[in-house]
Amino acid sequence: MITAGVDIGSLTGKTLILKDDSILAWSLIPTGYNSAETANRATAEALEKVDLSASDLEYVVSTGYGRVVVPFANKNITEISCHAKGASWFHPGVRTILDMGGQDCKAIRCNASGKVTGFALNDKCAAGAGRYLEVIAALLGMPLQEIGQCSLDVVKGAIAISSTCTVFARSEVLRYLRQGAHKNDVLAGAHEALATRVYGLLKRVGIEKELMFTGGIAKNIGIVKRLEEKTEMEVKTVFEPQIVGALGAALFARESLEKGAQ
Amino acid sequence: MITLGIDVGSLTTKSLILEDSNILSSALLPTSEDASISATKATEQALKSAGLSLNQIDHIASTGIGKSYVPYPTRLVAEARCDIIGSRFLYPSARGVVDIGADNARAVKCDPKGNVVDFASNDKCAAGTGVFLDTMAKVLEITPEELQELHQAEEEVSIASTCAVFAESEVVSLIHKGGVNRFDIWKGINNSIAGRIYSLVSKLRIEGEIAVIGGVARNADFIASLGKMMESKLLVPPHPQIVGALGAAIIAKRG
Repeated sequence: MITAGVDIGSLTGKTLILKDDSILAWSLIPTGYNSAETANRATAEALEKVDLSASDLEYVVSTGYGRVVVPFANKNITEISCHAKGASWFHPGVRTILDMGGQDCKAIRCNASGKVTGFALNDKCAAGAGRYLEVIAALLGMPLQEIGQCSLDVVKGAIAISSTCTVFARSEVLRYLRQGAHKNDVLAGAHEALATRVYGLLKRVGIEKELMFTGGIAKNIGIVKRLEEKTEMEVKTVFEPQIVGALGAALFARESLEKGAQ
Repeated sequence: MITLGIDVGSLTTKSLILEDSNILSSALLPTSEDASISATKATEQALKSAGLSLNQIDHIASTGIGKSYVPYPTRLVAEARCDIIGSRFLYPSARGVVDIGADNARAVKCDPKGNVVDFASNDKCAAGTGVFLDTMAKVLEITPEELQELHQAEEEVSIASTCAVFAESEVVSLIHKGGVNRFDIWKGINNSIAGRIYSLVSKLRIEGEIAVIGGVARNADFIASLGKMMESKLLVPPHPQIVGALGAAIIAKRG
């Protein structure tokens, strides 16, 4: 049984191909402004890796911000449901999921079967999403991959950033840098501020063990470590935290097929 | 009696000299890293155009976020109070003021005598402030001269994002997608900021005319958008940026 999950986010498009219960391949590409084309390209790339063609896919479920425009999907399911589903596949004990991308941040609660029981969402304010760190990293001229570790290697002490708004925080950081602050100390302050806001979102849904972190920002060790300190819990991640939604979609596709066969 | 009002904002510093009920002169300069320098320079400039020297000033009052950096013996006055006193000097019937500066917006309500009874402000979020408009104007590559022609916008494009950072990306992708007039986008941006200001003002339930001051009040498109949303009549002075300094100068006179 071969199924696929296509997750069209605001910044990246992901396709994951599932055979029975094994992940065969996945792709991850930047989203263009034409979501249908992004879905086609991401899927073609994943298929190519395992030498399959589109006709081999028995069922396709789309998810994410652009899920309604995926031309070849049999069905679309919200990203919140797909994240809970995918997270439970990786770690069956998961009850709380934090999914954090560039444009939004979601705190999701689920039960033992991976079904959503509650969620809280921020998609209104960049200060509570990955974009906050992108803006600060761009100001420092540093690649996103490095900022998490640097934020942990504090030199003189973390510099607290008092502005919440990303636009104001940027000016504030610029002022500290002019006064001679070390990049790492500024990054420590920025990571601390973001982690605190995200922790607030998690508290709104209630944090229950186990806690899993998905989405692009889960690759940032600076946020992972700070969340562990705040929640006093181990934060579980996976080798590729950006494909959890696409995996959930592929699992839903498999379920649809199984139901159809009955 | 000659008094001086100094308003040290986050972006610009204003000095105004008042003799009894006449404005003698005013000056507006960008706020420098060391705010005391711009306060001094703006004051020297205002003194020069009035043909006065500092020792001829009887009283000084200062306001604005950087008021404590003013290097003269001065009385410090809350911004909300200066907004009201300055606006009512120009429009005695005003019952409220909306002051939109570079990185904050404030709505102030007063009683018929001009006493501040309530105010609401936003200094936490760039949406609904001058920075928001400035960022968008840069993305759209619209110059102040071109802004004069904007009244011909054909269709209004609505901007879904509230956050200035997200709105910037939204506007960039609208431009890239093509087929939209950037003046129509500009209209959408003005509606967006007017919506934020409207929700700030409506909390106060101001009954009567409202003065709109601060740098953003110079933007006629914003005023038009806000005017459509508000029931109150809007009063926009010809020099909306110096009203806070005017209020300070009037308060200085009272000793």
